[in-house]
Amino acid sequence: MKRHNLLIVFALLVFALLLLGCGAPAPAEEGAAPAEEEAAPAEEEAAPAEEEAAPAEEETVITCALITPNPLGDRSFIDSAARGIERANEELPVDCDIIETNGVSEHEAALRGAIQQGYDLILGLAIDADLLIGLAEEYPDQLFGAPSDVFAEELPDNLAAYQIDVHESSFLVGLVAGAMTDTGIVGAVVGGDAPALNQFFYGYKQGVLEACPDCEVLVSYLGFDFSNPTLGLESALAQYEQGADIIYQVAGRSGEGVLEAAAQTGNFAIGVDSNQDFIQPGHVIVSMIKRVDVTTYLLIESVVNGTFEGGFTRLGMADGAAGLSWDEGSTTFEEEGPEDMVAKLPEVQAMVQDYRERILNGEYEVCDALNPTPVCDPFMNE
Amino acid sequence: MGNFTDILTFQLLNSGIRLATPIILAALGGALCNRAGVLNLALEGKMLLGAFLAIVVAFYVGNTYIGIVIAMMAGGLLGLLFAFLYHRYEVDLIILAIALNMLILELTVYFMRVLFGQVGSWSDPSIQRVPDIQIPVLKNIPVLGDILNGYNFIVYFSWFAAIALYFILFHTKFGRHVRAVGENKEAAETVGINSRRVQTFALVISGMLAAMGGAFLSVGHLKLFTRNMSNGRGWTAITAALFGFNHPIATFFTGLFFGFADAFAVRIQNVTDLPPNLAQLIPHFTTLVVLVLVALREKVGQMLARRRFQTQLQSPQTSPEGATSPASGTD
Repeated sequence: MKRHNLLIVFALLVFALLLLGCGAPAPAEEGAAPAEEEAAPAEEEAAPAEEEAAPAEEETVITCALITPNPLGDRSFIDSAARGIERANEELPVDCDIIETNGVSEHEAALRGAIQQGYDLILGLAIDADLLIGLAEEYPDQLFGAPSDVFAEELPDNLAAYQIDVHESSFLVGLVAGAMTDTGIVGAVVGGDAPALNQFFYGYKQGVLEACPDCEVLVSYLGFDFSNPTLGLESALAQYEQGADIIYQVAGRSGEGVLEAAAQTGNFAIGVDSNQDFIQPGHVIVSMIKRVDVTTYLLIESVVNGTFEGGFTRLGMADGAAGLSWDEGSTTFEEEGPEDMVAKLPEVQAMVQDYRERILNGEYEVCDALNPTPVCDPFMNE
Repeated sequence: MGNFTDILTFQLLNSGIRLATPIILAALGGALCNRAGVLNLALEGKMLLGAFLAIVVAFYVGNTYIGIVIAMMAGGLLGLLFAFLYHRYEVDLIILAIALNMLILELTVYFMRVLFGQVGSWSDPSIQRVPDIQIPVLKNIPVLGDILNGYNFIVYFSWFAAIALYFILFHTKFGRHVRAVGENKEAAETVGINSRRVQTFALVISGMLAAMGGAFLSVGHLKLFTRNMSNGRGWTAITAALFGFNHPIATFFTGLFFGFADAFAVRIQNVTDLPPNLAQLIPHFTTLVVLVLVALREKVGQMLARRRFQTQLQSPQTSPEGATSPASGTD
C-alpha cells in the first residue's frame, strides 16, 4: 500500500518536473523539438533548431545565447528580441540560442548555466541590473550584453547595455490618439507605476495634450501584473465606460486584454513594443514599436566585428530603435478600421511626420520620465 | 479628477460580478470538498485545464458550448482520478494536488506550443465568445435590470450552482451524508454511509465547477488563452470557501466580495488622486480585515457554544439542541 502510494506520487512529480525543465537550458530541446515537426513555421522555432548543431566547432562562428526574462510568445518585446537573434543567425556568422526562463527566480540559474556552456556572448534581456553586473564582475572574461532595460550608469568593461528610449515614439502615438478621439477622453493601461513605464505614459500624455489640449487622459496602473489579461480587460472596460475611446496599452500580456476590450466595446487601442495591429484588426490604430531586435542584433554584430565595448548606450527614435508600426508599412487599420476613423489617417500621419522631424531636429522636446527635465513638470507632480 | 462617488456605478457591480464568477465557481467546488472532508488544493490546476480545453475544443469543433462541456468533463474526470488514487492507494491529496497544479501549468504551455506554435498567449479569430444574455422582462426593470442583466450563461450558472449546492447540502438526505462524512468519516461509515461514494461525488463536482470557472476566463470573459491564465484564482477560491465557512451561499458572497474588491481597485485610480500603489493594496487590505472579522466571529461562536453547553449542564432536563451529532443525521 505505502509503496504504491509513493511510487505514484513520485511518478507524477517526475513527470511534472520534466515538463518544468523545458525552461532550463539543458533539456530545452526536448520541449521544442516535437513542436518543430507539427507547428506552423513560427519564428521562435528557428533558434532551438540550431541547438543541435555543435556550437563553437568552426573557428569563425561566434556563439551567443539570449536569456529571456519570461517565456517567448508575449507578442511584444521578448518576441522582438527573438527576431533579432533570428536575423543575426541568418545574416552573421554566428550561432545563437534562445534560453527561456519562467520568471525572475530562474534568471540566475539560466545565466550561470549559459556561462558554463561557454558562449562567447550572453545576452540578458530585461534581467535585473545587479545580477547582471555581479556576474559580469565574477566572470571578467565573459562578454555580456543587455539589449534593453538595464538601469545602471556604471557598468563593467565586459557588459554592454542598451536602453531604448520610448518617450518620443510614445509621444507620436499620443498625437495619434489626441487627434483621432471623438469623445475628448483617451486612456492608458500601464503595467506599473515606475519611471521606465512612465517613460511610455508621460510621452503619450504629452502627445495627446499637444494634439488636443482639452482632452482628458485616464491612466490605470496594474501593479506590475504583466500576465493577467483579465485585469487588463476590466481596466480598459472601466476607462471605456468613463468615455475614453482610445487606450494605449503598456502592459505585456495583460495588455492583450486591453486590445480585447477595444474589440468587445467597438472602441480603439494602441499597441506596444511589437506590431500588434493585427491582433484585433480594425481596433488597433497603431503600435508603438520598441526595436529590441535592433539592439540585440547590434550587440551580436559588435562581437563579430570585434568592436564590442562595455558600457551604457541610449538609443531612441533618432537611431531607428523606436518608432511606429506605420513606419514598417502596417496598413491593418487602414484596411479594417471603420471609414470615419480611416478618413482621419492622412491628416494625422502628416502631423506625426511633422512632429517627428521637429523632435529629431531638436526643435521640440518630449518629457523623458527616466531623465526628467522641466518639460516633465506638469506630469511628475500628479 | 472626478468625485469619489463617481465609481459607485452599475458598471462597478457588473465588473465585480464578472471578475468574481471564476472564483465563485471554483470556491463552490472547494466548499463542497471541504464539507466532504477532502481538501481540494488542485482547484488552480483544474481551472487552468478548463480554460485551456474550453478554448482549444471551441477552436477545433467550432462551438464554444461544446468546448465548455468538454472542459467540465475533463475537470470531472480529473476529480474522479483524484478520488480513485485517494481511495485505492491512499495517495496524499495535498501532494497530489501540488503535483497536478505544476503538471497542468506546464502541459498547457507544452500543448499550446505543439498545437499552435505559441508559448505565451494564443487566440484565433474564429473562436466565438459565449454570448451575453438579455433576459426579456428583467432588462427593463430599472435598477435590478442594470445589475442582474446582460451576463453570459456561465455567470448565471454560478448563481444557480450556489443555490443548488445549498439545497443539496442542507435539505437533502445525500447532503446530510456529505456533511456527516466531512465531520467524521469513521462515524459516518459505522452507520452505513458509503464515504467513498460521497467523497468521489464531491471531487468530481468540484472538478467540473473549477473547470467551468476556468472556461469562463478563456471563452467567457476574454477570447484568448495565456500561460498560467488562472493566475492564482484557484487559491483565492480556496480562501473564499474558508471565509464562507464552506457554506455555499456565504461562499458565493465571499467570492463576490473578492471580485468587487478587484473591480474597485481598477476604478478608484481614475477618480481620485490616490497613489496607484495604494489603490492596488485595497483588495489585499480588505481581505485582511475580513480575515480578522472571520476569526473574531469564530471566537465569539465558540464562546457562545461554551456558554450554551454550561447552561445545559446546569439544567440537564432540557433536551440538547443545536448539537446535532453526525450519527443522528443519517435517518
